[in-house]
Amino acid sequence: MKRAYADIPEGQIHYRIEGKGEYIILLHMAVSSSDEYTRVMHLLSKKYCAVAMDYLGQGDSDPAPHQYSILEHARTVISFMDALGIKKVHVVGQFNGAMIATEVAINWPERVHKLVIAGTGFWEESEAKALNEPPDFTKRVELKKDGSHLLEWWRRTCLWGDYPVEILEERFLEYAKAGTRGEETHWAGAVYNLKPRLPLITCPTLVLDATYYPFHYLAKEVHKLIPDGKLVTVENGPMYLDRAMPNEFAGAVMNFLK
Amino acid sequence: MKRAYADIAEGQMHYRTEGSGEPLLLLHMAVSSSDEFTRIMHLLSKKYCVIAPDFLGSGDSDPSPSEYNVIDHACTIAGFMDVLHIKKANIIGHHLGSIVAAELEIKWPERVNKLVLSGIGYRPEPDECVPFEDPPDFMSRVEIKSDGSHLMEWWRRTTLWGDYSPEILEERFIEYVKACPRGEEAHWAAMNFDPKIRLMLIKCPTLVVSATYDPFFSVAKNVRGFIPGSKLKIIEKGLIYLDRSMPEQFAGAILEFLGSSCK
Repeated sequence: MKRAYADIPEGQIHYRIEGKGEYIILLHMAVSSSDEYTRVMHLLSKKYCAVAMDYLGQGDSDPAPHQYSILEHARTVISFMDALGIKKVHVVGQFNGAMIATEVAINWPERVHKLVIAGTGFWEESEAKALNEPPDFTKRVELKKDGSHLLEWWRRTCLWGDYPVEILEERFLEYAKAGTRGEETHWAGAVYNLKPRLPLITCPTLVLDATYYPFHYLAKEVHKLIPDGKLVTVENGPMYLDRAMPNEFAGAVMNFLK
Repeated sequence: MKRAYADIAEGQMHYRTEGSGEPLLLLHMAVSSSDEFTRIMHLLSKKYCVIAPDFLGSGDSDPSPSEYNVIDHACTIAGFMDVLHIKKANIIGHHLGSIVAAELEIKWPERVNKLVLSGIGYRPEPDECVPFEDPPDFMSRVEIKSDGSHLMEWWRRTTLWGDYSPEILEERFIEYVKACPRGEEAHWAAMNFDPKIRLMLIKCPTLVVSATYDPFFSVAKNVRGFIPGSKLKIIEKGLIYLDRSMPEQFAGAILEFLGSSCK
């Protein structure tokens, strides 16, 4: 795997790239980066050229000039493809990445072969309670001289299941890298309404679900709303599915693409 | 400023670059990266092509294949210069970076124009009668703990070296997370360097920069004495993170020295 930078109008996009063949672009979750896909990329790269970018304001990319919406992030994906000279790709996204991938597929259908959206859902008032969301995980965190902000980031890192410390440390680094503006990606996701967008997807689409994804209970409904959709559920798959179960994640993607 | 990667024999080295003209390399301290120079790069890039790499195992570079000593790191910098087609450069080093710069000049004098060694020092023997004290436990290996207590240990190490803004502390802290879990190897490399026998071998024009609140300030005059024909610039009230906290003074000292004809 190589790391590199691409220049788009807003600044530099950091990305990871591995393998040869048809391009797969991997889009990460909120307060994360291409780092979440390193294990999956090793597997995908046997047959594809796997490319994972960091959004503006995340990982090692430049900050966004202002708070970006899901659609604005989607536009940077197209700018990034242009910078690399990539015409058409398979797009894979998890959580925020799935929303951004959806907008890429809807707005630039000529650039997308197939779509994989993992962990997607939407909030409806009646369902907000059923979701049983952990408290306070998207508020802005201010830097404190006593270092207490670090423990708050660690708390948020540990909210989503039981992982080895290496994975927790990887996730924590994303918080530290993104800094005080990191949560803007969560806010972009919170005001994005996925439900009316799903029927507009025209390409073949895989809904990748895991039984411990927070939106697991909505997976069937998401699947139903997509005209040409398939659904795969990974048993016992946790929130950080790509980091924790890379074989299952990459296997589902490759099965669908072939 | 742009960020990029260069492929050397051991893997990918991440670097920052800005400006055009004569090449000027900036080498960072232990458990740090090119990020420490972002404030001074803007000032130096008006006259020079400024390039700051991350050592292997630090910042966003690949890990080193084994625990590297100072000479190993100097070799990677020579390899990095080859990849970027830089034949000869001015080299500025801060703390660990200063001794890597010194070893680079000693081994390949033809590749170094002038040297600026900032915060270079050593731990004096008792019979030298020079006051010196290390802070408690700042370079033992830190293990990752599921309760997050290792974060507070890194934070403690970050805050050992003076009073800084939360932004600078946060920048320093991230270096610990990025370099984890082998980050302290960079400190260990610096411990095995003996300036008394190495620095006398430097042949190019050299400036020693010392800040009065840097732990090595007490040995600055001795260090200058080891390096034939070197100059000493003292920065009043400067702290160990001099490049982050006093960029104008740091860049000013460099520009003044590089602009002077001191052969």
